[in-house]
Amino acid sequence: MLQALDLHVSLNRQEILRGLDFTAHAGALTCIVGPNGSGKTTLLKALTGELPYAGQVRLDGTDLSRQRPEDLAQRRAVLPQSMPLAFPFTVLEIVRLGLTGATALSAQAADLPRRALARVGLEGYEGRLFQQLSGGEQQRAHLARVLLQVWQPVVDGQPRWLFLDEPVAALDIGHQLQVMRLAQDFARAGGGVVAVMHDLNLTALFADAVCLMQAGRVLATGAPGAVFTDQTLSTAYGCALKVSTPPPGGGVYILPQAAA
Amino acid sequence: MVALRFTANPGDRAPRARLALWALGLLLLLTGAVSLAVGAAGVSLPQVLADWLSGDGVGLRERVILTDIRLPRLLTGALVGASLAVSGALMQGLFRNPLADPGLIGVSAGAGLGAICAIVLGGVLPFGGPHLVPLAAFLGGWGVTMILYRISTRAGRTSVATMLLAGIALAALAGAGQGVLIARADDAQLRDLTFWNLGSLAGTSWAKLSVAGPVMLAGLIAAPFLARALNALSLGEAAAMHLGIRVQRVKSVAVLAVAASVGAAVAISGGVGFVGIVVPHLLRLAIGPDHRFLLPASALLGAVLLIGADMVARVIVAPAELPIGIVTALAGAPVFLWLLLRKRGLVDL
Amino acid sequence: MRSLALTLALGLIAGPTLAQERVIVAGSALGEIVAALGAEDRLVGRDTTVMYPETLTNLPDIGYLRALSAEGLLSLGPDLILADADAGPPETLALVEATEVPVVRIEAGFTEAGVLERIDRVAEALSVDATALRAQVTGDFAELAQARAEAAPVRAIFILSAAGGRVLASGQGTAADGIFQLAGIENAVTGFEGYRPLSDEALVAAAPEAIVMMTRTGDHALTDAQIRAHPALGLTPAAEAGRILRMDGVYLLGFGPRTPAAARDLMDALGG
Repeated sequence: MLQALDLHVSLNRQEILRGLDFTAHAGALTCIVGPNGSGKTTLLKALTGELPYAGQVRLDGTDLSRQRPEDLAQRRAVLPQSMPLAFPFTVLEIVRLGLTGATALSAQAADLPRRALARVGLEGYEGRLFQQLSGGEQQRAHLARVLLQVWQPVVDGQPRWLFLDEPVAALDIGHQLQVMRLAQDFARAGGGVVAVMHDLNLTALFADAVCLMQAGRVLATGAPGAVFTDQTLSTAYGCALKVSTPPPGGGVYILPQAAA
Repeated sequence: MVALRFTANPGDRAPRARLALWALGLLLLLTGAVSLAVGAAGVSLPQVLADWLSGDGVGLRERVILTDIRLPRLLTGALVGASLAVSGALMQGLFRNPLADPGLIGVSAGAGLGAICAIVLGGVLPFGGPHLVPLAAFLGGWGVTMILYRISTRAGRTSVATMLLAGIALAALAGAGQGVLIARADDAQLRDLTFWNLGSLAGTSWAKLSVAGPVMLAGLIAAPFLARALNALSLGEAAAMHLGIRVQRVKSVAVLAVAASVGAAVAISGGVGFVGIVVPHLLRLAIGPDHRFLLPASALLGAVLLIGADMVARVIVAPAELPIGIVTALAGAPVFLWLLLRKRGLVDL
Repeated sequence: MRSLALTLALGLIAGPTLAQERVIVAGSALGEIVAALGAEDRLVGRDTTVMYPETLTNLPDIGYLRALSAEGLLSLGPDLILADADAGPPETLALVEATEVPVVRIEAGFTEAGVLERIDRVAEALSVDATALRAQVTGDFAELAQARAEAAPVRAIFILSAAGGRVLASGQGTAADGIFQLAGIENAVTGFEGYRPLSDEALVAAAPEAIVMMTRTGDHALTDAQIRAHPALGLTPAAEAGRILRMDGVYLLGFGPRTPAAARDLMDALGG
């Protein structure tokens, strides 16, 4: 279980997170949603130890601030938003950076990068130069690297965690679904997934739990069906939104309403 | 790049890089042997070896030329070349930019300021000795590198434009410091400084090498331990941290290694330019940017190039000598310009 | 008595080989002295500063005397190296000595006694007789002294270089100061040793009646027009009177056998 209590984060003397509580469970896909500037990415960065924070973050019972980076890297992997690459690495070389700790020493280590690439739909891309890929392809290559880092969702009974910052932002609809399914599969296999999302419909379709943020606080949390109501969403985003239920799936989808 | 697709394991340049390392190692041995055999005095290495093996004894003049002139010069050249090239590769990895170079961004100038301090003020200090100049050069290089990193890095992101401009400012500042000292220097010190600035291995001796050598070696030995971290760092500091790298510690060690190597190299050889930027660039084209191979390959190619340049410097105007900095600048500057032209459009500052 | 016997014995054993036949000279005055002693044919190499007599420039050039190369020196197969006190770097000369090639360092003294001492040291190192040269130089100095006694005193400044308008002038203890004294010229710049850049105000305050420079080309050259246009030099009596003298640097500052003549030329050019 990932648990944050009374979390405060300030950047440039401006308080971005104003004392929020957050919980995510292993085995579930938890999505963080909210309008621009509500603090989604800041929350993710605090949860992964990238930003200094006040308060407490516990990952499966241990205090995050007491973890060494090399131990932490064995328990969770993080996909940041965009990262310009400094040098002309090949796709294989980038993905292989995800081989850390025990995975790197395992017998199948040589074959794993290829399999990770296949899972994100980049078969045969090993020899391409990373810098020459399209934005979406680069994002998926990074996802393959991150997947490799926590290849087994559960190790010795302990779950491993994936933190994804807008994993589908630059992707076409086909690859959006592929990546969301991948995250869902990781959670189904016992791992924990925390993803910052923009697309409410994709979130509604795949998330097990939703955390809706507004202005550095949590506005609502729970199952998508419970959080995504006309009232809550319209308040959070400051615009008229209508939640509907489609005939077959039984999930919800959100329709923007033209101004009255 | 097309050839990459036809290798057994596409995208895996490690086999090619290993081959390149062996080839460079062999090339270094060969260059070293030629460098020992070539010189103004026309002492023939095979002849000396034959005399020595047959027990005839080697003449005093031959022995001094080989063991006290050419050999320490060979080793110094190799260490200076390796140090400058590895420092360049480390800097570029640390700043995540292929244009970072100790010479371009003022680290050498800082080391130079330290060295000049020691040369000019050395006489009035209560302590000193042969360790003073390399130590002062190291401190100068370290200071500039630290300031540079502080100025150009905000929230884990290094702004390269800031870095280059700050480097220019710091180099100018170091230059001004040098100017103040030069105004204090007497005529003899002044002319020494001029020649020292051009870069030369002419004053090399075992005594100097025994002081600067271990410092350069320490920097070279530290470098390979940073290779994995630098690979991860090319994704950005945050990504490196998430991959389990202790980013802050890696940065400190890298800065120390660069300052030590460049400081000692500058102290013993003066201003030798372009090795640090041209060598890693060429190698990235050949074997890719993986630092596990790039760092040792830079050490080898840097050593080969500097030994070669020193050979040219020793022989071309014999019995006089050309300052080696002139040779490296003559050869390095056009290559650097060519690299820039080639990359135009791909690299943005 | 015993040491004399030893010297004699050594002389008998090593006598014929003692005369140094392959000599490298580093330092312009030393080259002049070797030539004046009639030992020019023994030279096998010289440094860049050795340019007189002109025949010496045909010898292999070992580079600038402060940046010599050990192997370059040894490649000429020398059995003696005559080196100015300025020659170096010290590591190079130490390496050459390690091959049992003697390196004789000869100090420069910017006085009559200094010149004579140099001649003696060179002659001793070459095992030649210096009597004739000594007598000639001593005579020249005596004539110079006589002329000096009759000359009117002049205040002058020596400018080593003026690159970028920055005037590098001679203080005390330099060759320029030495030749000024020999020529009976008062150095208008006082208060420091060696060459230093002078501020414009200090230049005006020095108020030299004459300016002495070396014949140069390129950046360091300073034309009469530039001197008159210079904010400080233009205000000096020297510029107003046009008393600006350029002389060959090696001749003027060498402190060799030609020094009395150089001092005399300087005196004549500025005197009256």
